[in-house]
Amino acid sequence: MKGILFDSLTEVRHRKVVWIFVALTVLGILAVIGASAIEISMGAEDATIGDLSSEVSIGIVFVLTWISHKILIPLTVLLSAGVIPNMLTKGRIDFYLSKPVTRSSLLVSKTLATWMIYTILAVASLIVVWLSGAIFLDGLSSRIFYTIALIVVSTFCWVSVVCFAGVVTQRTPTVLAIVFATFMIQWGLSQRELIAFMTDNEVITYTVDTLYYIFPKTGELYDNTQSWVMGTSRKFEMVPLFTTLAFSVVLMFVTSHIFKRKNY
Amino acid sequence: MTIVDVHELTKIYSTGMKKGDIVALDSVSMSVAQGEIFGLLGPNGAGKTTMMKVILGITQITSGEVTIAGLPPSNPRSRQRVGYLPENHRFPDYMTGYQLLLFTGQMHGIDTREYEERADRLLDLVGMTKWAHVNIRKYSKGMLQRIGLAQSMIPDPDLLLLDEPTDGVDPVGRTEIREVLRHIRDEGKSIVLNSHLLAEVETVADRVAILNKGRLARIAPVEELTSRQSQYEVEADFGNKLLKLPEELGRTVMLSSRALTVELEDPEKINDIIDHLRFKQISIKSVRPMKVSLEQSFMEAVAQPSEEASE
Repeated sequence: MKGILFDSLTEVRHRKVVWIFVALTVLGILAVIGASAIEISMGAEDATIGDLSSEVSIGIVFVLTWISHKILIPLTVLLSAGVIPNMLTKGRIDFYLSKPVTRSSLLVSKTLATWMIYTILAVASLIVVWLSGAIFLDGLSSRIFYTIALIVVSTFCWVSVVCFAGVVTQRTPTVLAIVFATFMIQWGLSQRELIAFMTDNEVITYTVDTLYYIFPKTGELYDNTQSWVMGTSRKFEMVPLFTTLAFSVVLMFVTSHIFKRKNY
Repeated sequence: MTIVDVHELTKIYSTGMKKGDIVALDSVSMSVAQGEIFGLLGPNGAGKTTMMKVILGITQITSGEVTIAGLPPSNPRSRQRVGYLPENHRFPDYMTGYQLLLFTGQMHGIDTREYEERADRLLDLVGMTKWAHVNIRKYSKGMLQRIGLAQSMIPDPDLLLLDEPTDGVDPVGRTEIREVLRHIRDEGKSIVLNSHLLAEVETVADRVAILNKGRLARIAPVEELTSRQSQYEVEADFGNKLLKLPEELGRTVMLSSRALTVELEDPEKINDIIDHLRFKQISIKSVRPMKVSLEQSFMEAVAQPSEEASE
């Protein structure tokens, strides 16, 4: 793991990926400063400064969660899409496979190292913007930890898809296409009740329901997280979390098995 | 002691129903002894690179058995003391030469201080100290080969597998690499050398295996492959003497005023020829078996049906 972590860190450093996250962080801070210049009038006459501060801090986390889901996580997928195809390049994979490590540990280490590095970068970027919100808008909500959890789980899920697609296709564009297809399928499956209502067919309903419990649900995880951030729901839906994690772990096993059997 | 043992190895690449399967290696058996430089020769597509990949577990075996120091390639420990320089390698281009060596050391689980020391020593050995901290993508082909050779030696290997190590290296560099290989051999380590440059293999290898169309065409010591055991050249002052050898002694291949080339059915007959010449009062200066180049021997081996593989 030490060697692969070194390898992944060197790769990230060389590709200057850090600067993309730095740029996003700076944009986030500028947005916070811009927001601090807007005058906010209190709607309710009996509202206090404390109430407003709490609302602002939750609002910041709400926006940051939205940004994480719409920008940070997709960016992580985009940046990591080429990692496995790059490693599997003809002439390079021979070099990796000639080392005294099992194929499974090579693949899992590379995937986990990539996931760790990009997650740390995304979370660091998030925390800096969140802290700037505390400074400029006087809003600091601990609910940011829900957002961090969302990033950790979602990026793990997408990195496992990236790893699978990378091993199977060995090409970055097809990796991105498979990630997009997975995203579309999970979105489609989230509409399962509508599909059942529209088709009124038992077989289709059963198939869609089965697939729903197999596929990851990062979209629903996001919805859940936003409910928790806003405090509108006290109950946390476990199905999206468990199915997403189970899907990722099983996919890693399947990928590892495929990788073990391949000739290079 | 044998370090690599290959027994009845067959490797078939499946290409789908229409194209049919490709037999890359067909019942190949061979072994590499400790402390020898073993040349792997063959025309393009003969299965040389596949053989190396099978030994390293990069490619799966269809049938047969391969062991490295008694361990199968599926066991990662079999590669613990093995160095490899792939053909047409593409090392991670985001690393510097020095980082590549450190990474190799880490992957082999070597102690940090130890691989740092080795990296410095090996960079010096292959003449890359000056370029150690330059990104690999800026290296020339020769520099890549040198750094590749250095990384293959990081684990202090008992077995070194080198696929075209001098490809793209200038003549001076080749000589240096040859010296390095001899130095490694003298330390009791084994080298499997795959090269198209037969003259080079002839210079450094102790034994060679010639593969042709996936089958073992010949395996023998270089000395044996390059000597024409049935032909001898006798250097002597024949002057204008009309020499006619008795038929039972051997066949005269060539005769000049200074040399006689004879072909013998029995190598022992050379003594009879010497006696015959001395009886004729011809002053003999030297007698030596006729040599052929490895290339000539190689061409003969690949032209023959491979069933005649012999040692």
